[in-house]
Amino acid sequence: MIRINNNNFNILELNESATEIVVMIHGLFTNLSVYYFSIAQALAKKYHIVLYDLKGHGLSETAHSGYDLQSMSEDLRGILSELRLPKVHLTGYSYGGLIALYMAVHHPETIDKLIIIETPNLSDGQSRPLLEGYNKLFLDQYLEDLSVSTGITPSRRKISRTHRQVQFLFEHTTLKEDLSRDLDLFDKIAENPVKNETLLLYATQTECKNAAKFLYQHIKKSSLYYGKGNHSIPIQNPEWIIDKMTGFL
Amino acid sequence: MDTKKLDKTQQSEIVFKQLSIFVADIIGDGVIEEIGISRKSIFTKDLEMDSIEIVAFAEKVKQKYGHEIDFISWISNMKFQELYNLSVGQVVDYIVNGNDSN
Repeated sequence: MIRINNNNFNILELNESATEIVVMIHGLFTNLSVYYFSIAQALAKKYHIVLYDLKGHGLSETAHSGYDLQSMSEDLRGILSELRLPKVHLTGYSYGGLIALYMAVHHPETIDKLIIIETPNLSDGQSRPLLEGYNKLFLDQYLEDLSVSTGITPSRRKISRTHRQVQFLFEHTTLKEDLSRDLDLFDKIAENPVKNETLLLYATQTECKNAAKFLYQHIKKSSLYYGKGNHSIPIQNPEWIIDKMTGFL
Repeated sequence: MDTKKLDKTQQSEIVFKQLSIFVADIIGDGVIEEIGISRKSIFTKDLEMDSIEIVAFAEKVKQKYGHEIDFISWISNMKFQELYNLSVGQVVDYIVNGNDSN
């Protein structure tokens, strides 16, 4: 655990002696384990891997506010500073990809290569469920979808904890309003294009196809690939992501 | 491991006790008392550990036994479904039998 911006963050590093560093950001309502068991271990054979839980997720502390991209990026900058990592390859999955893109727009000096996995555009209809109607019924549906997409039935304790965690985030923090504040990120990318070499990885059954196309069009040095799976592709098809990332880095 | 003079059964008992302590550290003594732990306990189903708790468990195993066995490679080579069905006994056997174990 390290303390950044008055919050405790769960950090995990692999192969710290490697010279090139890959920082991996997970998505909303998941945690660093989305990378830990496969993608991170494979890349750690060559790279120094840094995983962390976003605030309010996994084992990191929950805060009342600060879930907007600027605050989340400040958390990440604090972590990089604390670990004395001036420049890193940055990987972001889903909402984590938005943090990575925000970093590329506002703090490009801290990033070498960028890897974006299944990242939505918050301002298009595809991600609207993230911003509206988060109630118990929705949570049940979310967990059911998660269960179907991953082939895994969450345990009772996990469901209860996930419910508590997500409900807390939505009812007792500013997360919902904070998400609404960042609808213009893709406009900012259009105005101020990302210059980093970027790998865009999306699923064949993605619901973020518009975002994939937009990023591919607006990031000059980008390449876009579609791998078998849906939004849960890091869990469904980690081998494909490892293969693509290894070829890119 | 540091119990080479013991036979496999004794080694297994020691490792099982150590792993039980790791699990209790992560999910709490109270939970362990309530649901119990055995070699047959499956981390996700029986101990109801979620992914981030299994990461914490894996890191503890790596810290304790990592100089003798490549535990992380072992679990990271598993399919997700295998990981989901991993039992305490499988981890005990892997630690006791080393990298020859499957």
